[in-house]
Amino acid sequence: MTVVAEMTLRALARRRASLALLLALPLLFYVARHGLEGQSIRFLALGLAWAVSTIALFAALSGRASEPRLRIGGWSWRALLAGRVGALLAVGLALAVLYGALVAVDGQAERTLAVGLMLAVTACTAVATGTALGALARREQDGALLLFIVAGLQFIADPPTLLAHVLPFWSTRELATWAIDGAGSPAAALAHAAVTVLVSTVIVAAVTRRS
Amino acid sequence: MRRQTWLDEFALELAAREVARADIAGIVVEASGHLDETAAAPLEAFGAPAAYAELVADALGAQRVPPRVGEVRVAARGLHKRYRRHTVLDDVDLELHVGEAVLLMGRNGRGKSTLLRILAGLAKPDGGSVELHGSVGYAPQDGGLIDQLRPAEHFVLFGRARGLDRKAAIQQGRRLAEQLGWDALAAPVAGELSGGTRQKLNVVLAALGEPDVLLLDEPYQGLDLDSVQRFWELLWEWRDAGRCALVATHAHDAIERADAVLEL
Repeated sequence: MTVVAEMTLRALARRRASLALLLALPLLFYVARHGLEGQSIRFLALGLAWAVSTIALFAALSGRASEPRLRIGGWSWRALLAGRVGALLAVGLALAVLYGALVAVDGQAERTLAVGLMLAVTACTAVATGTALGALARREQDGALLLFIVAGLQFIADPPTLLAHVLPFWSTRELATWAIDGAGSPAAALAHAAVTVLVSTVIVAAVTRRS
Repeated sequence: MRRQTWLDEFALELAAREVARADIAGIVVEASGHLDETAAAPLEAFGAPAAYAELVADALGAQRVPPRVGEVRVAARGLHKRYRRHTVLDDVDLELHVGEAVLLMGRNGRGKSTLLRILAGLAKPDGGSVELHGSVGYAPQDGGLIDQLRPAEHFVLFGRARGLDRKAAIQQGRRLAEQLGWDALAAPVAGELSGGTRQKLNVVLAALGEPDVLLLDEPYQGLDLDSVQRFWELLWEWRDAGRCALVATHAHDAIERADAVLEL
């Protein structure tokens, strides 16, 4: 599993353009809303969700070319999945720390630890969501469009609505409300994030075992 | 000379040179396929039947060491596979024994890759059964590599699954690559390799850890003549060491080098 994680990170590190865009997306969202107090952090988190889930989606899709062959060679699907997801989680959490530090240095939030928690949870749900969509999509284009729909709807849906609650990044919005406005329920957000990860894991396991 | 007359005479000439009947069928079918593909007259393509039969028989005699054929490693019975309305495999039987290098031939779309994928466990047949005894190494026709990883990193990743530690995997991968005339450790990432070199990497990855059964799909597509010869020498080495291989290819010269031919 460690070898799989290592090779996933090596492959990702060589996709320099993708890495640059991965870094740029949340940053651009943050900068674009910098003048609006609180909004910049919300958009930073949604940008992180979008960027990390995109990387996870494409990692899952590109794994389809090599992972069946690795399974013939003796790897279990669990070890391959755990290695890939572990590597993506490391990248996502590193970005959460990086952007958490940026927010702290920039003085945009009073509760920087809460912002850090929001970003870390966002990284986890993004990896889970991107991996699940990657398992469901047949082609790259399908996967990208699915992600546009999911992330785009989360942007436009009002947080109290049912639609917002059934989408995977509701926890990010709820944690943002808690971290920025001191309102909202962090417990409900964490529970939602846990359910998102659980549902994603079940989807990925079901699809991967069948393939 | 008419085409069918030429093929009949060619078969008789092969039989007169004591080429095994099972081999003759495959050789004649392959010659016929070549004539179909090139639309050439048989005399132009191959020369006189007797002369070409002599050439083939000589090549078989010179290059083939009688295999130490042993127990069955792979047994497929009545395999059937359809893609929508198109049947690609219809009641296909196959046996691969220890110490055998078998050629899988057939025109495009006849199900060679599908058969290999079924035997490797990557696809399920719609009917029939597969029994496999031992470990499997599979090289796909394309894909199966990670474009951003170097060959040595592939060796580590694929080798670990077969119980090789990092050092052993790299050493074994490098040695196999050298036998194919390729310096794998100096090579760039897989995405920057030429088509032929990617196939060499695919073959090396299939052979890492010395699996009992090798399933190779068009393994020398894009290889130069020297590399093709090296590939067969490597294959004969594996076969003589008690492993077996099923090689899908279009290459006509391969008939003379394999122990048996399965025509789809």
